[in-house]
Amino acid sequence: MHVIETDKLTKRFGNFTAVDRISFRVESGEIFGFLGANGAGKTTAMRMLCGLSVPTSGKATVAGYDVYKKSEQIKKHIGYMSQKFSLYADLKVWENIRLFGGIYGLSEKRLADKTDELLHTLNLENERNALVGSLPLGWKQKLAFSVAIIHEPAIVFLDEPTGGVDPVTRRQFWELIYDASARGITVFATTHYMDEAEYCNRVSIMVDGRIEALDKPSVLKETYHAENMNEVFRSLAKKATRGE
Amino acid sequence: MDSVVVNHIVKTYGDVRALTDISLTVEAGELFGLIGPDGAGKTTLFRILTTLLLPDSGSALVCGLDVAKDWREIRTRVGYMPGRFSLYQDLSVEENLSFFATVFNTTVKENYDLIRDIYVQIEPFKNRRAGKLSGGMKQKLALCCALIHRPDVLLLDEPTTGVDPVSRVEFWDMLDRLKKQGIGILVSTPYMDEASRCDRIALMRDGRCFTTGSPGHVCQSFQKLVYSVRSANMYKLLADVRSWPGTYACYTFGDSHHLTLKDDAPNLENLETCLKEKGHTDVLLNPVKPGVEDCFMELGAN
Repeated sequence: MHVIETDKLTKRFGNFTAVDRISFRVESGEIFGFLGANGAGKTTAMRMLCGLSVPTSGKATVAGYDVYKKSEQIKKHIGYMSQKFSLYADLKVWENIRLFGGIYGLSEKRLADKTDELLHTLNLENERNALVGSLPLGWKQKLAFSVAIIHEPAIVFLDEPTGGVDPVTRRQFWELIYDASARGITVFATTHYMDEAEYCNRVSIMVDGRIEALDKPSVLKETYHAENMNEVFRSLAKKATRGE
Repeated sequence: MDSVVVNHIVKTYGDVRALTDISLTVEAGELFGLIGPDGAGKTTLFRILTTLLLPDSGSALVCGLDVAKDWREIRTRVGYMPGRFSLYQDLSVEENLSFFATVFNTTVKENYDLIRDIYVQIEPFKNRRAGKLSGGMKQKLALCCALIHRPDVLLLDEPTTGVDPVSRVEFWDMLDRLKKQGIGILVSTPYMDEASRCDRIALMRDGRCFTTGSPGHVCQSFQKLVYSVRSANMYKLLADVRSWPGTYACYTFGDSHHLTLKDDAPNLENLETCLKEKGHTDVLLNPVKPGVEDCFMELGAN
């Protein structure tokens, strides 16, 4: 089954076409990198896929639900985290887990088990009662990711999850992503770190609201005669003509 | 005269040691990079150099002026881009620029030559509100505003964070042109690949400055040999290389993993055999030169 399927998905704001007829599919369990320059339309596209913004035209389903008619169902079956907002800084670690677990409708028993399991996996057992605001950024992001998938969603959307995180923790974060994907959770991620693009099964690159390229990193490098994904990205993003 | 001199600066917030004995020098016309993740202490150092915070101990000179005593003068001589976008969101591009010129008692016209290269890129949007600009354009406007009074020193706190790779390269090209005009630039970044754009760098972590020097010098000081390892199954490879007894550390590096060895490691043929026994195909093992990111991760290990 395809966890995401779009057909000519479009979003216009007045005269401005932010997302221009994008058609693509994301397979179950895949790690999908959603790349593009600032202003290329990534955030608008993601908002439509998360059921937060109604498309102007085109079709899309996420986890089998239609983005026009079933946006509330979509919200229940996805996870989301971003660099900017993830957890409540003035709640304790266990309180954040409880809050999000509760929102996603986990039973008391399941929540208690999940909390223990999660703190153990992340090595945060001693921080159970610490305020989230007091944790280093990298720990916070790992916790935020685990909380975003606490309800075992079909797919998790990650919007620049590793910005500013130190190199070692950034890699540990990607190991959590691999584990989630191995458990069958589809991962849809944006990043400005091009080494992270290499860790994705497939990558799409948006330019001026369109998907200009979509394939495995190895194929993209071959197609664009590039040494690495940074070069692929640059040769495509340079084609942008619209003002940011 | 040196643009920035920092001598044994210490800064604490309650129990938290934000900066521990920091010393560094930025020469005029030099591009100096502070490389480190969130929480390294970079912003605290910028706030001291811009006279917004006093250090607990130690001293610092900016343009030869003391940050504790000569704060009034320093504020007219530095251009500062804080990490958080700090222009007026509801003023237009043009209004922001003339506002900052007026605050510093000058005009856009007077110093236009310094910002021309950068400003022409955002000029088509001069009537747009700053809050409606995208990441890359905000950074260009903020740089123009920091330059409009023709400062002697530029202090840029994470100007490229959250900016896409193409805009980042453009931003560093601009800094290259500015330093040629004799402006000393202190810039911080969490992107390790940007270190190579600096004349000298300091690796910062947990309030301390570790290695300082040219990027080449910093990489040469890396004590271990680094190998790149690849196979058809990269995810499984990571766990399998880590479980080999000779492995000191193994981390993902884009399309390959970087491996460093223990002193008493068996030779690499043993690793290759091990990996083949575990079912890996297309195994490639090659020595590579360590980069700044390898060096940084080794700081973490110690």
